[in-house]
Amino acid sequence: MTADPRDSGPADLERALRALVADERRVRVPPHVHAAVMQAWDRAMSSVTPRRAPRRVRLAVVAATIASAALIITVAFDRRRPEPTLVDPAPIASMEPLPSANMTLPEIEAPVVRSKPPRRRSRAERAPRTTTGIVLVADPILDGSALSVVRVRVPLSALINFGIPVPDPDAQGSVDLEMLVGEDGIARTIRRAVPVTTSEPQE
Amino acid sequence: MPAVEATEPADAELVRRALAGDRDAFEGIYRRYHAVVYRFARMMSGSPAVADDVTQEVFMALMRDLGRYEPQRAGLATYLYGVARNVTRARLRKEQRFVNLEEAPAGTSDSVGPTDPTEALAHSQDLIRLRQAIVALPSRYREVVILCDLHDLSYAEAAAALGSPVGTVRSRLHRGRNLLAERFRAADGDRSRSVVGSVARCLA
Repeated sequence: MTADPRDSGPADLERALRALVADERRVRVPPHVHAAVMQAWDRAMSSVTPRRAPRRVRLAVVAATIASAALIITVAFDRRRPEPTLVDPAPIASMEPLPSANMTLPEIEAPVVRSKPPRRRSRAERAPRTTTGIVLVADPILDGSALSVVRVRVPLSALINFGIPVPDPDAQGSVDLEMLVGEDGIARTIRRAVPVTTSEPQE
Repeated sequence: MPAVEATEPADAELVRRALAGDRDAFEGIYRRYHAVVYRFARMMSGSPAVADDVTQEVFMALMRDLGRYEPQRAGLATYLYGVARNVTRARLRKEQRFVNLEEAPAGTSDSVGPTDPTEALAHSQDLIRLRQAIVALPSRYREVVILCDLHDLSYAEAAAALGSPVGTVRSRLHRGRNLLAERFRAADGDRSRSVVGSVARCLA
């Protein structure tokens, strides 16, 4: 691979160059250079690993953000909501029919949950067609665990599943329910039921 | 340039594996080319310490820019020579490090030379003078002399490493050899005068 024959130069320079080449081939690289280079490689590779997973990091951040937002919303909701106090559960004593719906909802005898401070009811809630009370759906929570209020609109026929007798199971219509749901996702009580009024023209 | 045995993986294969994160492949590249890089930097700078740093920087640059290396354009050795040349020049320029001829590397301790102590001394002094003369060359001549005369690169390989036309390499090499011969002779004359002066002082 040597280039063209060298230009004519002093013989001693040629000899010295050959000796220098032989001398240079005996030069050894200090071992600390090798160690430093491979350490740099290891550092570079260890820093590459997080760079290869930005998607995972982003997903984790998004998940943490969602969880934080859910926690904040839950805390804010709990502050707005009157803290339920469990009292002795009472059995469903009797049922009375709702005015506009051909069904019955339980009459409240002894409150299972008492809110403090009592929430101011709106005019609509104070309407006589609104039935407010507690229907025990599942075993009450006696250890003071948190409850969540879940509002749902269900068909009248679905109330049969709650053990509420409905005179006409085939009747049409819906009811807005406010249910207290435990942390386990099981509905503990129905504390409020509002029949949904339809504006269908009467014939 | 280091010879690659048939049983060893080719440079392109090592590069491909190193790109995939194979530590052994990168270490294989290092073991194959670290010596030529180190010797080139040592001869260019005249300083083993600078050669240490340059060698590290060259291989760190390689691991950083490994994806930019194109095997079809140049051999890995040529590529590394080019990186080493740039790193060395940048290092010397940055530090404004002017070569101190008194601290030029003296070579290896186990240099092969004459067995006669007098001849060995002269041989060693010749090497020292030659190293000093090479280090004192302007960098554009020094690098071609090192690549072509000490590292046995062809004109084309040196041109590829330096990013210069082959004709430029040829002319610089010619000029560099002439300068080197002049300085080597001048250093020899200085040494002769120094020896004569020392003898005269001893006889006085």
